[in-house]
Amino acid sequence: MSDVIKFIRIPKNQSKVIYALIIIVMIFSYTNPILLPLNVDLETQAYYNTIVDLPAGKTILLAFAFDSGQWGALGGAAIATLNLLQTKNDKILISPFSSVEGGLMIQRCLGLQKGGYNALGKYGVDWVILPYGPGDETFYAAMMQEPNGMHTAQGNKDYFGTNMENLPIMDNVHSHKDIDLLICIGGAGAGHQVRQFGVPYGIPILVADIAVDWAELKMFIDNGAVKGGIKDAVGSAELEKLIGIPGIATSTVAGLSLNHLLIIGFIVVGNIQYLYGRYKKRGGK
Amino acid sequence: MSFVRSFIPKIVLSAIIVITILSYFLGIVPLSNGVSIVNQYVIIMIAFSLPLGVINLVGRNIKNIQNKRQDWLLDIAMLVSLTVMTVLGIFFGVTNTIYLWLYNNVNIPVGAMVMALTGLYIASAAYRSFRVRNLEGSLLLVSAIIIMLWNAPIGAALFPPILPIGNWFNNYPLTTGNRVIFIGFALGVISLCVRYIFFRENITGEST
Amino acid sequence: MAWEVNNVIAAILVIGVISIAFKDNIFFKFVERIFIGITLGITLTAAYGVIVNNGIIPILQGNYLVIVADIMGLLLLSRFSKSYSWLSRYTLALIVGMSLAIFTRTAISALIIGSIAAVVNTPLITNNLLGTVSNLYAWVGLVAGLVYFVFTTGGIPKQGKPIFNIFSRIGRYTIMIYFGVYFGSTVLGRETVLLERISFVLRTFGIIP
Repeated sequence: MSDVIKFIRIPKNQSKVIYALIIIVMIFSYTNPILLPLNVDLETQAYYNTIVDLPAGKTILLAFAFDSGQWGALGGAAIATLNLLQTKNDKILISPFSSVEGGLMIQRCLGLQKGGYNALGKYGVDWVILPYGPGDETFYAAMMQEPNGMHTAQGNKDYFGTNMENLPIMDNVHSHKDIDLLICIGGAGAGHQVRQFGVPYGIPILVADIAVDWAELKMFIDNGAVKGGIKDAVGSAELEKLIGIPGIATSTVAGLSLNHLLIIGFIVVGNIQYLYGRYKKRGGK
Repeated sequence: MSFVRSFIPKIVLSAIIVITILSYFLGIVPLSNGVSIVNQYVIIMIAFSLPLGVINLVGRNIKNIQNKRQDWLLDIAMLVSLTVMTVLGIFFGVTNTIYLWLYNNVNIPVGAMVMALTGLYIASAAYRSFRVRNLEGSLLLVSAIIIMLWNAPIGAALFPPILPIGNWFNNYPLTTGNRVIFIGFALGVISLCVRYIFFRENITGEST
Repeated sequence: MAWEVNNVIAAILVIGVISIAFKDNIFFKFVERIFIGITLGITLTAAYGVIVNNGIIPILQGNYLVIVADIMGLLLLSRFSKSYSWLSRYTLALIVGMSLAIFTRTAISALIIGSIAAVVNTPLITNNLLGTVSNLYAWVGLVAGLVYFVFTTGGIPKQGKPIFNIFSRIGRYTIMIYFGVYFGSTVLGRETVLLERISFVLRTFGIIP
């Protein structure tokens, strides 16, 4: 028994061994991919259906509230959502909300969507990029206020500095009354959106967020406050499968399986070592 | 002096909390309009707070460079990149080619990788700390393993019942526990509000 | 496309960052400093945009009341002075007060009432055993979890209050199971970001298509 333990034991101070093993397994999983079918979750299906079922001519507030650290998790969902919105005939207001990098992330995702930067239609008529606003919920509350929060909270200008009077899309957008759907990519859980858009004004909400915030998002979906959700890169891959355009997320999740098995393996090995140590202390061989 | 320095800010804090909450529930139009205007101005004030950290960091780096402390040459690199990015963004606009290039080819890869380092550390933490010491630890361990198997596509291939089991854990324990946490969190924030309203707390967080 | 110049530069920077996991080195420190500088530059640009569009242009257009907001914002800079840092408390009072009030006014409905209503509206007895057990878990877990979370300080008492102790212990187990599920989700979140970066590096150097 002790020989087996010695064989599988990872030296105590050698976390670098663990790091190296993870990277090696990841490289192996991409060079020898295990292609397994992806089951689409109910929450992802609801996210997709809510967008598809929205009647034409509505106004969608699309928020890119994530930064470079979450690119791997949410980049796929952002581009897939843009690809899906191209098939709709709705007005799209793209906002970075309170992410300082949001405007740059929006420009990046617009460049990577199918059809290129202007695939959503004519700028200023069919879609517009709104400017950054600090303060999270303070900013959202200011945006939604009557009579003209959508203009005044953002200094009456769009992201590029153009006056909102020169943007026809903003002629009919003034406050919460003019927003028909909020889609938020990122945003540190769904709580901010539910508190400032859903509860006071009843605006339907869809959220794509990282797995760390999935617990909060799932709670709000079960409470009925959020209509649908995308969970990290796995949900993004499911959305890409639904719209039929594979992207970043689909290629990312190919390596997920072996990696999770490795971490479970680490936990099992650690516990075997621990339990064997306890057994030895009690006088076993 | 402490009346002006600490008591008046407490009155302002208390008043703004009470008026903002009352304007939402009472729906008095002049009150709501006043709160809306203050809300717009608070956004401007928050924008002034963003450069505070930058000024602090730049000041420290300049001191390091003047005193030639460890890695002072790297601090120069930081100041140069900060200056270049700020000048490009403010004077040449946010669609400037170099500005976008630096964001797309430096900030995104490095930022994503810095976040990705936690993936390595979490695996190391899982090996070191997940132990079957008692019942609570075992419950935590078993539920973590179930969800990890459920999340990975190979889990369903190796052990098909993991799909309904994982769905159950996703629908019930996750949501239930999160409701407990968030109700407790909301009660905590409400009690903090009440403490601010009754001057029991300083703005800096010390109790009185 | 493999070996594209921009991607090669990005991949080299990614390898520089990952090197810190093995050994602290000068290349990582250089990449870290550049990254911090660029991020702060983006932050300053964003702040400039808000201050100019919301705080200066309205004054030039005749809305002179905005000067008050600008002065309050500038008071924040007094934090760098030991003698005058108390001036910033006025601005902080407004920021903290407004933010807290905006959060709290809908938190009761969104977090407390929403959660309780979702559980209360679920029927306890359904026409299948699993449904009944699941709903019972949701009901009992919520109550017991709150008992443990809100009312237990200094550990669960060993003597007295038997019903409270039982609920408190069930609540503790509920929260432990929740933390396990939460950790499982966290692993997914962290690993996918790492996977994306590794796949990016491999694609850049033509190792995978």
